[in-house]
Amino acid sequence: MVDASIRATNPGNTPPEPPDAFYPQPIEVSGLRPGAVNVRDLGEGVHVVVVPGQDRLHVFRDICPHMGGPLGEAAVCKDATLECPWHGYRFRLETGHLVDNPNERIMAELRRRAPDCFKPDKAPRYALTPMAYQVVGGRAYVQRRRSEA
Amino acid sequence: MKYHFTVEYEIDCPVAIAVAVYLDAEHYIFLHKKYSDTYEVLSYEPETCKIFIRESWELLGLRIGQTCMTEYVPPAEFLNYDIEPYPRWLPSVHHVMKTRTRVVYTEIPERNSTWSTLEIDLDLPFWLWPFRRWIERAITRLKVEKDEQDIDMIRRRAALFGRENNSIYLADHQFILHKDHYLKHFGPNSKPLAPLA
Repeated sequence: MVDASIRATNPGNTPPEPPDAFYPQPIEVSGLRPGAVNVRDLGEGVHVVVVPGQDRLHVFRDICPHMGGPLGEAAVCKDATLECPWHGYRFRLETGHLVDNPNERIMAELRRRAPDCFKPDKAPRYALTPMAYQVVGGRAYVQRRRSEA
Repeated sequence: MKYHFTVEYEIDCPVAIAVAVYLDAEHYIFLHKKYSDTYEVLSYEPETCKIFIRESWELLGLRIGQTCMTEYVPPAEFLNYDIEPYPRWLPSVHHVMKTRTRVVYTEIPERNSTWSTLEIDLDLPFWLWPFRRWIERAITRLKVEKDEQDIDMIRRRAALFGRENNSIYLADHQFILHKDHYLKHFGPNSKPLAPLA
């Protein structure tokens, strides 16, 4: 269980202000499994994956930016990446950036001889967006993105 | 001795989505990793939509699996045949039993949904004939389990992006098998561009 390693970013026990800048259900930090994918419901139908790191939490929406895969079923790899269970795309926990699409190797022969309508150079820069949070009294309050507030 | 059986059910999505999921080979060894964790292309004939593949997995430190010819018959038919064990010396039912499968997706127009039909043709030696029902159950169970994983993916994507949304499969950057043929038959919002047979 995670406890002392995740330090309070906001001393005291008062929930962060303003309340509507944060999702209604905080995450109990002590209940998180370290180094593993934890799925949490923040209320309002928003689910996130939480991977506790050395001294911080990595919090992302439970949706792979590639095809919408359930990152709650993702694997945490040894190189501190999160592997999507649908297509194996791997994202760096620290930054959320896509670091590997293994299919580029697995499907190399097919991709090389694919028809002109396949344009891999047009691939977007897929990335998970890390969600900001504040820890108060052992609870992590996840901040809405500015556009959601 | 020939034995034929069929596995049929509805998949609640437009035919364009069901076909795209089948052609989306990049999910085979991730979503379906329980069955096979390695997919290798041994040969590819773009003109005939034939790909000779090897699927394998590790058992007791040994990599075993099967090779198989796969063929796409646009717009919504898929064939598998010439199935052989890998490595060739591996004791396997495929040495004595020839298997040919045909999956066809047909439209259910009143629900814009898909009827999935899997036809299996087995050529069995006489001594395997008493086990034909057992083989049928095993193949059916495998088919249903893998399709359930695909259906979960289809349902989740429908909830997130819309039931008819096939834009990711049409996107320039997205790799799917035989993409040029798919684009000839299916357009945006899963609209068939020609009548589905």
